[in-house]
This record gives sequence, C-alpha cells and structure tokens, in this order.
Amino acid sequence: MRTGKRIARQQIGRMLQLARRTMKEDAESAMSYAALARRISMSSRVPIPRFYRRQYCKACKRFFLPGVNSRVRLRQRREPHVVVTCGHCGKHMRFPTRLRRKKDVRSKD
Amino acid sequence: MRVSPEIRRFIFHGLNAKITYSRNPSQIGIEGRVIDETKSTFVISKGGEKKTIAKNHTTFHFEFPDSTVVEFDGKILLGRPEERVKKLIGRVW
Repeated sequence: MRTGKRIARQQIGRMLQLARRTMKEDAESAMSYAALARRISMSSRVPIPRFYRRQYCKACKRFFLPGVNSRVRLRQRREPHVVVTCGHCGKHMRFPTRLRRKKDVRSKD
Repeated sequence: MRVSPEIRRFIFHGLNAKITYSRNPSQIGIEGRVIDETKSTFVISKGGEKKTIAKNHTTFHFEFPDSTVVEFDGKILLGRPEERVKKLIGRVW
C-alpha cells in the first residue's frame, strides 16, 4: 500500500476523533476539523471510515453529534430503522437497523 | 515514536506547539494548541487567545501525544493541510 494513502487515512481518523472530542466545548472548531477530514478524503481519494460516515448530513455536509446538534430516533414501522435529523438544515436521514451483510459491524453510535 | 521524513505530511491540529525562533521577535516563545492551519500560517490558541503565526521564517516545536517533541522549520510545512497530506514540495535535504 502506498504511503501517501496510509498517511491520509491516519490523519482523517485523527481529525475525526479530535472533532468528536471537542464538539462539546467548541462546536465550530470541531465542525471545521470534520470538514478538513472530508477535504483530505476527497483530495487523496481515501474513504472516510464507515463509523464516521453517518455523522455528516447528506444535504448540508455538516458534522453532527447525537444530542448536540442532531436528533436520533428509532422507528419500528415498515422496517426497523434509525432516523437522524440534522440540527442545521432539518434534513432527515434514515438508516436501516437490519443489515444482512456478512462482514458488517453494526455501529449505530 | 519513530520520526521519519513523512512526518512533515502530518496534520498538527490539536497538538501543542511552541515557537522557538522567528524573524518576528515578538513571536518567539509563543506556545499553545494548534487550532487552524492555512496555506502559510498556523493559528495557535492559548487560553482562548488566538495568534496567527506565519510558517515561513519560523521554527516550531510540536509535541505529539506520546510526548515526543519534533522541531520543524516552517518552510517545509508550507501548503494547505489537505494538500500537504499528499506530497506537495519536493525533497528537502
């Protein structure tokens, strides 16, 4: 594996960890770290880890954390799923809770 | 922590930094946490106070989580963070 991508992946993970940690004290900085992580991911073509992918709004692309600037609810109708509402643009995102992929780790943090 | 040449492609947000030399003498001795980075500056914050430091003509000491301190000449850190992660500048001897 080329070192360029390894470093990029490392830094993306670090930036997102940092964003989660500083979200409570300084939401603006935390969101800018997450935006930086996203820019690195785009420009170096390294995907954001699946765990963090769910914490970006699909519409406004902002970072959020449950309870701080997003609302997370569980719904049972039709098919059990999680509904996350972005605190900024109000967009709802749905994630099914029953994933039938073999090597998948269900992390709905 | 092994320090290799690729460490200059690191992102320093969230690390503690200290200025040990600068062509602007009033900036020597500033220390704090890196909170932002642009193409040619770092923004360091200490106790809520933000200072913007030029990268060029300045020597930085960054402290990593495992307490390793690495000294950098700011000249090799030029570039936007997302570009720096890829190779931006050629070999620095």
